[in-house]
Amino acid sequence: MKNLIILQFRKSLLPFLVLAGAVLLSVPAALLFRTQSITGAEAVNIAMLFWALAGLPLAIMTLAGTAGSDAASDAARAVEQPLPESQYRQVLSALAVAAAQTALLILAVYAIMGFSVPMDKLTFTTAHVARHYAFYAAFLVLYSFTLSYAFRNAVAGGLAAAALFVVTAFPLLSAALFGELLLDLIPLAFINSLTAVLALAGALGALYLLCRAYARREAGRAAKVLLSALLLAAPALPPFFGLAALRAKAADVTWPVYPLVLSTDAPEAAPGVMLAQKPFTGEVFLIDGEGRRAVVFPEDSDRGVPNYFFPVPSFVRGQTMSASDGSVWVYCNRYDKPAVLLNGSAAGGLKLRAALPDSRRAYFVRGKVAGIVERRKDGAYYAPLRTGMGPLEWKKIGNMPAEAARRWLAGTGEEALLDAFLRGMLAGAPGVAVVSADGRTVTSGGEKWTVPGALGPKSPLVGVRLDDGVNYIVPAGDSKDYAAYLCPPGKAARKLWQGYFRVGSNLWQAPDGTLWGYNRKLRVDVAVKTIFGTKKNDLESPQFSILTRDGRSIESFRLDQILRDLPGAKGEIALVREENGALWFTLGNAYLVKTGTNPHGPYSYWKLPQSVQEKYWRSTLAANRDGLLIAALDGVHFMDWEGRARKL
Amino acid sequence: MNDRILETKGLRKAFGPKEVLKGLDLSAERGEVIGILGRNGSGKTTLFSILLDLTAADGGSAEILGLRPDGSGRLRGLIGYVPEKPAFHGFMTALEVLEFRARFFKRWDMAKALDLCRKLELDPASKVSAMSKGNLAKLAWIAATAHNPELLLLDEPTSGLDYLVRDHILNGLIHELTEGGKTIIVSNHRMGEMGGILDRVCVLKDGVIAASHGAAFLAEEAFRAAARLESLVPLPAGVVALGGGGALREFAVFGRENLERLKLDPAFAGAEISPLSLEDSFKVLLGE
Repeated sequence: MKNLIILQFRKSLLPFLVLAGAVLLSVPAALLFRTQSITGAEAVNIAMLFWALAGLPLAIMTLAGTAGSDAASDAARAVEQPLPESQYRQVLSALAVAAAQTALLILAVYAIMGFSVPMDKLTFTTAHVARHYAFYAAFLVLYSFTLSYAFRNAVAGGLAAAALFVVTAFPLLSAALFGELLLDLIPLAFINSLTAVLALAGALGALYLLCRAYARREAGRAAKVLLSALLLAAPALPPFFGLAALRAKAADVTWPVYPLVLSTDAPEAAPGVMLAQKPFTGEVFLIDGEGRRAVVFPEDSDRGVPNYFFPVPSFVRGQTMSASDGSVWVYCNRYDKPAVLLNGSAAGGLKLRAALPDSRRAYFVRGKVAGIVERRKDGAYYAPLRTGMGPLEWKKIGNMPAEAARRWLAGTGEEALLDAFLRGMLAGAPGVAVVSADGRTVTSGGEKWTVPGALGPKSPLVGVRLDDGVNYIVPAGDSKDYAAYLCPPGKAARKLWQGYFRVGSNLWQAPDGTLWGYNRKLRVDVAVKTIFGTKKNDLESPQFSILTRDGRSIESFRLDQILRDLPGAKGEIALVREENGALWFTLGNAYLVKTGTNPHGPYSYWKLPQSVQEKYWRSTLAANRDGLLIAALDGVHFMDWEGRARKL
Repeated sequence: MNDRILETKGLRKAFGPKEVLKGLDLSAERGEVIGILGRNGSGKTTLFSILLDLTAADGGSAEILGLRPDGSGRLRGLIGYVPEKPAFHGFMTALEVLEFRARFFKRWDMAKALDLCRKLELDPASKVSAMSKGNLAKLAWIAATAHNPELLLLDEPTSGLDYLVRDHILNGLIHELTEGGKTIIVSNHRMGEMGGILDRVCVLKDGVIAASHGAAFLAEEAFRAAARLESLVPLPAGVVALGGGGALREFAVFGRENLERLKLDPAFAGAEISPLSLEDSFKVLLGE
């Protein structure tokens, strides 16, 4: 075989030297013709990137295609085949030389770039190509050679190889892009490996069959050619099946619908239900723990041809809120449809109360009567939400000054626009306390509490309902010594926890009423220096302060040991239940943990159904009194407090 | 020692709908020189290609030098082959061709190759791309014999060569080989010029060996009979009509016994008998 390789190399020496010379000459050419804005190194890198992305593929098709057609030529039959080597080995030697020449050209380009690819300068697509360059180059060599051998024509073989390359690489690129930007829904590494194996085995197998059909002229030529064609097409199958699987899986991916505006004073989402969306089909629905669902937007059946090759998500924004009669208000804003306001329930269905064709941004607000505020081009409008079927009574509550309008169009500034109105609305709402201008007095209804001096904005405080009634938590004190003060009904205010805590900011209420605060929401992995000067990874975990419904306070509670045991649990940590001294936490979107108040005591944990949490840390969970609603990769699941899960 | 160098049984090969070999049986003993006689497209080159393990037979079996064609190419290392149209890499000189081939053949004798160059007046430094047809043929002969093969397959080995080169090869090289005990299978349109060296002539017709005659038989027992026939008469066995005008007809008679029987036939009384040349014998065998 060595002698055959030497022969083949000698035969193709001239075109190889021409191409290698062109690569080398492009270095001085790049330096000579570079613009002033780029350095010499950058100019050379750009030239080499051009070679890598355009020049080398053409060079590969030329070298391998010529070698393939030459191996099948009458000249090779007359000159080389009478040599005492098998015809397949002779063809393989020609392929090996084409591959070696390709490798040398790639190596030359890589060496000129200083054995380093400037990935930061590349787009995602070109970076993907760079990462998989060896595979793509090998594919082009194998297929240009084999197809040119099959057609006995380098041009036809090269073009066919390029077409097959596009057919194979495009779905892989699409799936990789999808995985990089969105979700890992399919085992792309496996599909890539399978494609590579099939490409190698398919091309060599096809070459073997073609060699038997053409060179040895074995019987059954048509069958061999047909089988070769199937083998050559085989590597295109995993990417296409992968893409089909990706589309099928993407259609099941479920996300919660997040509100448009995150306001600390926004009304709580309606309990017991989740407003969920399937971004790859466009479906939006309200679902409860029993799996009953009411459609907000149906599945969008026609999403266009590009969506076939690259599933594009379209996210909606929306919000839920409980109505006074126990029904649910739903506001939902989809990019391509008028926003809608609906009322009803997951079990009984939703009824459209209003379409908001001009709606850009709207959200629910508290008040004596809860309402909806809508930002329009000419200003802000408010409508109280009353159940029933009458039309909404919109009232303009603020003009849009030119500056605000400009900022509004740019997507900023809406908070300042309506702060005063919202504060006014909030102040009149039940379960809301007002802080005096000096920050020392908190009043709600007929009750009054005195605190050392409320910190932060003197905006109304949203209360929390515990067993003894509505309590208010007031961050108060001075900049050196501040604490959360508890204002319970019928009693004087008292210091609850040291530190700054504010409802809706870092203080939340679990569905069962347990109040919990934290100094940080996420776990943080840190590198710490040891006394020996080496570094090791350690953990800084959130520190929780908990107030049970019956008034028991647990301070400085940490989950260090659990977080070390469950290292994959990234994302927000939330307390979702307290019962008889047992605490339930969700760790990111990955685990439900049940533990006692002793942080080093025994604990139980359950893996949550796989969600989009790998790439997006926002919670995909909605807790209610009975368990968790989980928006997962394959739909909505429900898990009770003992970890029993079911898909809804 | 087994003296059978080559044996094929029921060899079949078709290219698409065209069946070229239809069950060909052929054998050759050590030192035998066999001429394969056949018209254009009769399958001579296909037969050689199968024997060289270049083309796979569709059916039947072949054993050459104790090996069966298996696609490995081993057989070609043991066979000397002169193709009808010799071809080499144009960028090489004759010497480079020989040196290149030397790497593939274990028994390659470079001194012999260079000696043959000298004998055949081929300059080793001459470039293949600039070689005449005759020089290409000489190089093919050298390449086919320098590794001392036991079996030589010669496919139209003198095709297109001028007289001097042909004479050089036929009277020099082939005689030398036959005297060295090599087995040779040769196909040649002008088989007459090979007559002196052939042991046997096989007629390849309709995909099979239709007839096989010893060369001595053709040289000594093939006759031309010229007779005046008044009417058409049935021809005895071994007698083939050659042609002729009017009542004067010519016949080829194979075998002395057949000739004697012909002489006794009243219709052929007075026939003129003369030896039939080899060239004419081959024509008759080919049915031309």
